[in-house]
Parts: sequence; C-alpha cells; structure tokens
Amino acid sequence: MEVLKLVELKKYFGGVRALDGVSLTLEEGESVMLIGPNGAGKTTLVNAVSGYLRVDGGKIIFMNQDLTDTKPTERVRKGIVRSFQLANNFDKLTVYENILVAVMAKKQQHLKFTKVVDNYKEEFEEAEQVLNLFDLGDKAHEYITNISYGDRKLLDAAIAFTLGPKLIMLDEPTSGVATSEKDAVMKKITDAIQRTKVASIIIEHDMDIVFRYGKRVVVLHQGKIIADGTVEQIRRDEEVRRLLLGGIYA
Amino acid sequence: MVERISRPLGDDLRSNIVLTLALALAYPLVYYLSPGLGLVMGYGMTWVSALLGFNLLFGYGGLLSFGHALFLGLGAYTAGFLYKYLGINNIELHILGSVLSSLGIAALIGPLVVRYTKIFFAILMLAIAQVFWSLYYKFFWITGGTDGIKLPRFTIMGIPLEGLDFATYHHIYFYYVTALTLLLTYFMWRLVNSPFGLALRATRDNEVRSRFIGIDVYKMRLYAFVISAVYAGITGALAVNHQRLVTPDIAYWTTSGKVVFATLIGGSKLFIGPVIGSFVFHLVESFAMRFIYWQLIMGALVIIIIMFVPGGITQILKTPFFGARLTRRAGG
Amino acid sequence: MIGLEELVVRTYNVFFGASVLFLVAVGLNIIYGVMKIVNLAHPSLFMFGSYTVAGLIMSAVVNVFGSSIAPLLLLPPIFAAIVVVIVSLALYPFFQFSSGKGDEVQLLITYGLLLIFEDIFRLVWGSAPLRASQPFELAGIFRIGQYIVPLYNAYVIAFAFGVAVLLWYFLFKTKLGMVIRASSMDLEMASALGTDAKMVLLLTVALAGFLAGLGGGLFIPSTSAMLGMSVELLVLAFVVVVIGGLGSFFGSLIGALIVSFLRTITLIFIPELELALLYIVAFAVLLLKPEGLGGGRKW
Ligand SMILES: Nc1ncnc2c1ncn2[C@@H]1O[C@H](COP(=O)(O)OP(=O)(O)OP(=O)(O)O)[C@@H](O)[C@H]1O
Ligand SMILES: [Mg+2]
Repeated sequence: MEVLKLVELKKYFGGVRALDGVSLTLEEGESVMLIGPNGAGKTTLVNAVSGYLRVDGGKIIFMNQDLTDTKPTERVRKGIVRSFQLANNFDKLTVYENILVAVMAKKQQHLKFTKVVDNYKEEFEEAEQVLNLFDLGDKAHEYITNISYGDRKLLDAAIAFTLGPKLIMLDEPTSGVATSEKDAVMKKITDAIQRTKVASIIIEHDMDIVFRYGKRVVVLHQGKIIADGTVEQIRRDEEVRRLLLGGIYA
Repeated sequence: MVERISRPLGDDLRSNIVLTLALALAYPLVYYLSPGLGLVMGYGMTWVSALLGFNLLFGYGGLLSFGHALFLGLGAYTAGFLYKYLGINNIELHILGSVLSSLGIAALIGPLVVRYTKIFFAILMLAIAQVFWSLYYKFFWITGGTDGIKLPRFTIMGIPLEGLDFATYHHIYFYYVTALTLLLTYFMWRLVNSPFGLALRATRDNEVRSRFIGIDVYKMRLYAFVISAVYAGITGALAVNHQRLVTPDIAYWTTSGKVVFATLIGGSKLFIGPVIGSFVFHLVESFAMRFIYWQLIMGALVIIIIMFVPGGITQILKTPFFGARLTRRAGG
Repeated sequence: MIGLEELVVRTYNVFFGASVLFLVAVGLNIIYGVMKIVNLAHPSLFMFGSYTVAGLIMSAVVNVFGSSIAPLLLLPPIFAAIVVVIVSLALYPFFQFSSGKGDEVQLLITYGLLLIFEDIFRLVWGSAPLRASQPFELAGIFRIGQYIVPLYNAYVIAFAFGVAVLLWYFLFKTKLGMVIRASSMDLEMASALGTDAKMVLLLTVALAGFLAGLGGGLFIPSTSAMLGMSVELLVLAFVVVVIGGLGSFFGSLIGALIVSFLRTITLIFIPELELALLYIVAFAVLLLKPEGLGGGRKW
C-alpha cells in the first residue's frame, strides 16, 4: 500500500521555487534517501509534508487521506513525524524527559493531570527502551545544554521514533555529528527503521553515507526531482554526478 | 537500568510541605515577638496561592503575565460584592465565588491572549488588567470607587468570629489560610509533575518541537492560564478578608508588579521558589514601605536579580541546600 | 445631533490626542524596530521630559525671557529632549544587556526601570501634580462658535506634524536613516556592510530618547505632570502599537489617530468604557490583522 503520495507539490518563496511540482510515492516500509545541492528544496519538502509550511499547490495524500490542509498536530497523530536539520529539543528538560514527553504525547496523555508522572510505569519503560536503543541511557539525566551536538541530533531522531510513526522524515541526521560518529549514528537509525518497518525519508549530504546505507535515492534540484532510483542507478547517473559528486567519484 | 524522575530539593513535594509547616509552627513565636511580623507572615501565606498560579504560567509555561492583578482584583471584588450586595461574609463562599469569577473571566479572555506569547502576552495582560482596574475605579456607584468596600470579619462555615480579640482572629485567619495553602500547594505540585506539567514545560522550551510531537500548544496554554487565574483569584479573596477592605489598588498594575517581583525574588526555576518569594517579598516590602521610595528599591532589585541572580533566592541557597539531588531508583 | 461647531472642536481634540500618542509610540517603535526591545520604560522617558520642563526648565526660561512667547514655545521641549537623550544613553547598558536575551529579560529590566523612574519623579518633584502652563496661557484661546479652544494645542499638533515629517525625511531620505532601517532588518548584515553596529544602536537609543523628551516637553503645558501617567501612556501607546503594527513608523501615525479618535468618541458617550473599548478594538485588529493596520510594513 502507498503510505505517502505527493502530487505536484509547489512552494514558492517570492521568486524562489523551493518546490516546483514535486511528485513522489512511498510504499509501506520503504526507505528513501533525499539528496541534492544546498538550497535544492529538501528541507522545504519535509516542511511541506510535515505541515510546517503551507504549500502553494499540489496535494499531500497520506494513507489514502488528503492531508494537504491539516495542522501539524493532526499529521503527527496520523503518523507523519519528523526531525529537524538544526537539533530541536526541549532545552530545559533532561534527555530522559525529552523522550518521556514524546511518549506521553504519542499516547495523548499530555493533557492528563490527575496522576504524577512517576506513576506512569509503562511510559517510563517505553522511554527507557528508546534511550537504550539509541545509546543515550548514560546521559538520561543530563540537560540538553550539557550533551554534545551529535547527541542532540540523535535525540531529535529518537524523539521522532518514540512517536511510533508510519512515516518518519529525518532532516540530515548526521550533519554536525563528528565524522567518526556518523556511521554509528546512521547505524542506529537504520536499525530502528528496519525494526519498526516505518517508511522513511532521510535527507543526507554525505555521499559516503548515502552509498553505504541508501536503497532508493531521490535527487532534488531547484525544486524538481531530477532522478529517482536505486543507489546503483544514481551512482551512474551523469547529471547527478555533475551536480553532486564533482570530481570525487568521477 | 536508568534512574527515573529525579527532583532537586525544592522541586519535591516534601520540602514544600515541610517549609509551610515550619512557617506555621514558627508563626506563634513570631507573632509573640512582633505582631507586625506576624501580620507580614499572614500576607506571605495569603500570596502563596497567587504566586504558585503565576509561576505555573511563567516558570512552567514560559508565559510572563504583567497583569495578574486582574485575577487578584476579580477575587477581591467578588468577595466585596458578595458582602455588599448579598450580605455574605462566609469565607468559603468568598473563595468559591472568586474561583468561579476568575475561572469565568479567564475562560473568556484566555482563548484570545494565549494565542500570543512573550511581549504581546505580557503587555496584553497588563492592558486588560488596567481595563478592569479602570472599571472598578470609574463605576464608583457600584464598586465604591477609591473608598472601596469595607468588609466585616468573615465567618468560617457560618461560625462568626466577631467577639474575638484581634490577635485570636488573626491567628484563626493565618491557620485557615495555611491549611488552604497546603491543599493548593499539593494540587499545584501534582499538576506540574503530571504529564500535563511535563508537556507544559516542553511547550515553554520549544513551541515548534512540541507541535511536531503532537502537542496542542494552544490548549496546554489555555488550561494553564485558567488554572493560574483561579489560584490568583483565591489570593484576591483572601487578601481583602485579611485587610477587610476592597479597593481598586489590588487590581492596579503595581499589584501585578508585586506578583512578578515576589516570584523572581524566590526564584521561578524551582517549585518552592514562589513560596519562599512570597514571604521574603512581604518582609522586604514591610521594611521598604517605611521608606516612601520603595518602588525605587523594588525596581533596582528586579534589575539586579535579572542581571546577576536570575534564579532568585533559591539560586543563592542552591549551593548549601538545593544542590543535593533527590533521586529515586527505578523499580525493577 | 452633533453640530458643525462641535464636530470641529472634537476633531481638533482628536488631532491633539493623536499628536501626543504619536510622539510616545513612535519612539517605542523605533527602539523595537532596531533592537527588538519593547521598552516599557519609554513612556517614563516621555514623562521625564514632561517633569524636566514642569519642574525645572519652564521657570528658568520664564525667568530669563519673561513672557515673550517664542522662547517659551521652543526652548523647553528642546532642553527636555537633550536631557532625555542623555538619560537614555545612560540606560544603554541595560538595553544592550536585554537585547538578544529572552523576552522576559527585557520586559523585566525595562519594568524595573519604569518602577525606578516613577520614584525618581516622586523623589525629585514630589507627588503633587506639576504644571508648566505659561506658554499654554500665553498662547491664549480662540473661539469656535460657543466653544473656547486653547491655541497651544494647535501648536502641539503642528509641532508633532513637523516632527513626523522631519522624522520621515530622516528615516527614508538620509543615509543615516537608511542605515537605521537596514539595521532593523538585520543588524549583522548591516555591520557586515561596514556599519558600526554599536553606533547604530546608540543612535537609535538617542533618537528614541530625543523624541520622548521632545514630546514630553511639548505636551506638558497642556496638562499637569502626575505620578502614574507613564503607565497610562504605556497602556495607550501599546494599543497604538498593536493597531498600527509593532515596529512601524507609519503604524504609529495611523494607530495614534485611531486611538485618539476612539477615545474621543467613547469619552463623549460612555466614558467609563474608554479603555475597555480601545482594547476590544485592539483585540479585533490582532485577530483579524495580526501585523497591524500599518499593512505589516517594516517602517
Ligand atoms: N522560510 C523561507 N523563506 C524564504 N525562503 C526560503 C525559506 N525556506 C527556504 N527558502 C529558500 O528555498 C530554497 C530551498 O531551501 P531548503 O531549505 O529547502 O534547501 P535544502 O535543500 O534543505 O538546502 P540545505 O542542503 O542547505 O539544507 C532556498 O533557496 C531557500 O533560500
Ligand atoms: Mg535543508
């Protein structure tokens, strides 16, 4: 079944055509790596699908439902979840609380006030599982300001997974992460994707990572999809090479 | 296995209850040594509710209200009107009435004001409070204008306290308010430590991320706003029964300023901050008021606190006392 | 039914009120535009101008120049403006500290300043209302039918109009003004283009202070300076700013006219609801046009 179907999405910023008629289909459990040069419109695509931005044209169909004009919160509830290019966490909460609040939100318990959080045993366990899966357990009680930027990015992704999405969109999960840790981070993320069988769109700049972890790769350029295929096909694609790889892989 | 919720001292329920009980125990001695200070403690206890309410919005929700005098005023005039027009001087009914009036008005203006944050929220609240103040002031044939409404001694559960000497009457008031404050503290503590409280802090830290984990930020803020209003309204009803006079002063912007200031003195970052702040503020005020330029002192203190000790007294005490973390281990 | 004469008189009052509000609000907007600070103490600076004139300058000017009208009209506001510029610049460290920090920081710091100013007025000039009505009385009155109207208010209107035009010219036609407006968009960008950011900020603070002092000094002969007026002005100026759009020069003009108009109307019919009605209108604007009636333009 199709999880996501984008039909001719358009988003303009003044004269800039950030999305210039993007059509894309994602099957259940399918993983897409979204690549493209700076300013190609990758983040804008995630913004549009997650409801951060209103589109100027086109349709967003999710699980056979038209969500084009819905609020972000509704899309989250339906299962569309994202992370951000710049780490976006709850700064004055601990790592643990960051995850816990996501667990509560997923279960729509964030409006409950009759019991103190200490009593939510199940939710604690769920949060702890996530912490352990993403190797954040030893930093659980640190405040966000005390952890590394790489960990913040990882936490951002972990929060997204906590919500139990059907479609997860991660905006450059490895940007700002030390080169030596990029692989480890990507591995945790792909493991989580495989385990949860969630459909995913991952924006990535590092072509090493793309070639190592990618299956289907979509290339965006000036708001248009210029290539869509397997890693192998993309690797051989002349135009993509010119655009992205420069001399390195030539 | 990771530890579960850990709360620093001052954020836990026990230290809050202990502090209030300790003050209640100290009160007779304080009153004996200096009735004036006993009265100051009475003011301190009376204001705890308003400050807890204010800090729910400010400390936990990140919304700075410069107009909480609106709700103190509503509570106060509800008590005043209940007596003036219906002859009711039963304190339970005054409290109930103030809860209803502040809840009603908050539910009316809340949907408008919580759409705004930061500067706009702060100044909108200031402005709305000033509008209400102008109404109390101008409709003098209803409100008594600046002469206000004089209240007789209140009754508790219908039991009159008229015959008692002033000291006894005041002791009764103090312990009545202490009991109520313990109850309100308990409920507020539960609230800020519930999933709602956690999510409210999340909306404070990062509105956008909150939205993208599915939290309806507007609703969270609206609920917090209404609860905050009710807590402030209760203080309004209590305060005028303490002073036995309702004047527009309690709804004036200076009262809002005191709410902000008292919370800052105590520190907005720990649950216990506003409780400490309420007593320290009234102590400071009782000294500063002797000096007619007390606003100057207050203004300077606000600036000094913000620039140098943003965590207030709890920050200063942090090293000796609040530094210790109370941690609870996971079960299993 | 309102007769033609009354209409003229009321309109005259509307313009007078609008002039005063414009002079308060425009400085508030300039500081906000460039530094992104809502200076709660800005109306206090305005009142500082009023108090300086009422408590100090006016009698000095009268002593020196007697009752010749020109110096009485011109010197007090100019002196007040100079004094308030100095005071504003002395406050610069506070603005600088607040800038870029959380909103509560700037609100609380400028609120602290507001409290301090209130007591400085009390300390220096006492709590009795203070008058500086010599130019007001010298200017005399004129008649519109059965109505007696003070001529001085016409001077205030003309003066405010002059200030608005000069300010417009400064902001939109001079290089310095352009730099200020550019900084409001992006201070970093402006400094990358070789502007000394700190100079721009100092200039902005000085300009806002100048307008506040000038306005306060100009306005005070028509009334008397009292404690608490700063907050009343703040509450009104905020409506102006909401209606006109925060940070907008033209918004201050439009907002001031609308607020003054509404006030005059309510004061005729339902004086008790003056503030309440203003805020209902402000709310309506916020809901329907959150960027204000200035059309969301930056300046
Ligand atoms: N909110 C906005 N307002 C104006 N222009 C915008 C906005 N967001 C994006 N743009 C513009 O749209 C275009 C696409 O931006 P987008 O952020 O989607 O690129 P990207 O592919 O994510 O780039 P990067 O690899 O640098 O993250 C760019 O030209 C950008 O300047
Ligand atoms: Mg991007």
